Amino acid sequence: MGSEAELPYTLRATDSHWVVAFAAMASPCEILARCRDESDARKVAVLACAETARIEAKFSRYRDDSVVQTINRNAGERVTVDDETARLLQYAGQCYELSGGRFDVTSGVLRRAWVFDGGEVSPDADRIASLLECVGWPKVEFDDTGIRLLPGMELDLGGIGKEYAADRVADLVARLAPEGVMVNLGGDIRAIADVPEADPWTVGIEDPDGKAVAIGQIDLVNGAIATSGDARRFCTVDGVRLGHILDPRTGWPVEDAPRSVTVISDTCTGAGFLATLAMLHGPVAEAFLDAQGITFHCVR
Amino acid sequence: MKTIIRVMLLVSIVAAAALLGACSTVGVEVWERDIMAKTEMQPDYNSVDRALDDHIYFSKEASSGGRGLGGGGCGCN
Amino acid sequence: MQLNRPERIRTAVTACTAALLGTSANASAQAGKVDSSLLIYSEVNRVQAAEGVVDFKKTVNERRSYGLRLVLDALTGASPNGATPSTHVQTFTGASGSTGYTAPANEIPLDDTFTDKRLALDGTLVESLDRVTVVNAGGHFSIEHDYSSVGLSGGVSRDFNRRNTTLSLRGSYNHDTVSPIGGAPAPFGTMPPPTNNGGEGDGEGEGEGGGSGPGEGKNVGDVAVGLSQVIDRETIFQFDYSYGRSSGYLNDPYKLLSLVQNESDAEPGEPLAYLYESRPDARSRQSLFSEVRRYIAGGTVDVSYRYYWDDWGIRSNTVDFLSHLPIRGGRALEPHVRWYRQSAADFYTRYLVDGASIPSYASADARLAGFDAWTAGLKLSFTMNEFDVLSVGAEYYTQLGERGPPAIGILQNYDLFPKLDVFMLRVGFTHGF
Repeated sequence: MGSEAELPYTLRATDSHWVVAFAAMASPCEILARCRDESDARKVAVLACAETARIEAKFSRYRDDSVVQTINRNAGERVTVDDETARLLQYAGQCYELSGGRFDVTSGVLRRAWVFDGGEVSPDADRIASLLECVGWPKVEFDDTGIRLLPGMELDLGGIGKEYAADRVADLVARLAPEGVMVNLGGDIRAIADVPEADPWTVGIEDPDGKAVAIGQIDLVNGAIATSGDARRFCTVDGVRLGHILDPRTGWPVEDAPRSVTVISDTCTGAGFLATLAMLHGPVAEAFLDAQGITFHCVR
Repeated sequence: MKTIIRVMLLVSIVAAAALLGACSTVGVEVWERDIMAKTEMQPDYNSVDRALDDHIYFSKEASSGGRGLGGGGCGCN
Repeated sequence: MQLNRPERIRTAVTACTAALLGTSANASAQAGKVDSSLLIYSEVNRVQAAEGVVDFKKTVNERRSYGLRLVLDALTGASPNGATPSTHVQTFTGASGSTGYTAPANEIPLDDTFTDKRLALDGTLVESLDRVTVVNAGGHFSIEHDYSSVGLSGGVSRDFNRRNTTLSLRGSYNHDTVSPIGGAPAPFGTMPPPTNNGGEGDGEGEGEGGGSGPGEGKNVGDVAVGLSQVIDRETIFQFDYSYGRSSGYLNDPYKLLSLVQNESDAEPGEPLAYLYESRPDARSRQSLFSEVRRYIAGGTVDVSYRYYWDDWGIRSNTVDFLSHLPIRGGRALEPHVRWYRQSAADFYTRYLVDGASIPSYASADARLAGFDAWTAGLKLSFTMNEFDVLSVGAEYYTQLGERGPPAIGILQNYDLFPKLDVFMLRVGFTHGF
């Protein structure tokens, strides 16, 4: 597979739980676990780092030897994929269907037409049109064992990867911390507790503008939190501020999208999808989230 | 009579093959499987009762099998 | 762009993420379950039986599960021995050659010397090779005092079309050993008179009693191909074709045929002697089976049809209807109706006539005759909590013989088909964990 260098981590104990800290997927990661003893806590650390590193090495767009990059480099030819990749791709396809085409893992190439450093840009309509030819999940040939992209197409699982990793890591370490574990990979969170009377973890939701005051607080025993949106990445067109989430149907950033959407649901993967999809609904993000019957925070 | 059976068998095989071909267009998405997941829609629902039934009919009638395979012999027939 | 209210997709998202993460989206993923059941079986004036089953299933991990089933049954009572009625009392030799039994005048003779216990053990292992392929293997063992069976089975199934279509292939092989008490009688051998003194009998084909001989062997092989197809959200369809072959000792060692006086004798239709039956030593059978199960108004309806045919000349049709109807309080009713019709085996005959040439094969076993059978039953189940279900059911089964051609002599005065009426009571308990 890819090179999976061991991730360095730190382990410390507080009054009520152990804290494992490491860095992966370009984010600070933290595991809070109520383990019986230090030896179990160390096992949690090792398992979590290994699984996160494995998923990153396998699915990251930034690693040359990842499965995703192998598929991208061989666009035009069929690439056989293993069970886990097939499941992720099948999930990506279902996301495409459920979102009416707004959530599309082939839309990454559109970022070549945009620069999101906050400055003014004049988008090139021809460039966007030609990039759109290489965007569209229905153009992909995918079955249970392999995938074939059209030449020029690219897969980007960045919208699924971190949340998937949070769910996988939590599943792996849950039995070592039956009183509760919370996995936090750069803000994508999953908590699992085997015992019904476990204490909740209190999670603060930060203001997207970076002010110290938390705008919300969630108590989590079993469940997940995912956030979409990043206030620091935007561009300006004709003086109008546009976020960095691109609508794959038009090639343009979604108009009037919220600054950030936080969703609480049962899995991190599901919460992440709903949060991203809410952003893609632009001005009616709140209405969309309301219709799902979930708890959410939407900041404009 | 034998010819009729041969014809029926052929028709069944052709029908099954056509069905298999048509099958690719029929079905539901993953998120529409809520009813299929119910206990009473599972293929092994009531499997113990069905096994007991099969044993009774095997010992009282001349036909056997059809649904799944015989699980083994007994002296009752 | 938004035409109306945004769609609620949350349940769909949960199902998709569950499929991705390999967890069960709906019912709690059970680690296993134990199904136990007790059946009380009672034929009017004939066989009484009790059968108990314990069936244990356990999921070891995402890929593997196994099952173990134990069956114990005990039967006793009287069973038609194949002979025809007579205006006189008839005496027959029991299986061991020593004890005899009698049949009253004007009644279909029943052998009531038989009593048996049986133990059967089955094990299965199921393994997922990948997301769409599952293989299974199983072993079977059963024993009763004059019969034993050992077998192996295996199968593979594969999903297609987003798991809407499943194709499966299954096969099994069993080797049975028949050790009739008193040894296997020679086909068409004459039944010797009972000795009634506990000693060895004399006559053809008798062994030393008690099934102590090496026994007769029988090999049974079966293969089946199955297709399962989800039609829509509420409907699933199943289609199977199976082929089986048995070879070896296929006779029933305790069944007789009456050799009756012919038209020109003094008492046409009265028995002169009793001969042991004779069946071919091979049998090929095939069946086509289809079933539709549909979820309707909170409950399910299941209708199935099977067409069976074999080279003994038997053809049968089976239509089976089963429904599951939830009622308040976690209870459910399950009505069941089954209709069955079979045609007689080529060599089935109700009796042999003196002077006529003996055919290659003959049997008067009513199970090979032409008849219709009906089952009607009702089961009530109580879901006690998320793990336990208790059920109680009653069923009635009856066989109605085909009207045959007019019988010879005095036999015209009797209904020669041993009509069967059975009442069954079942109690079952399923515990999940």
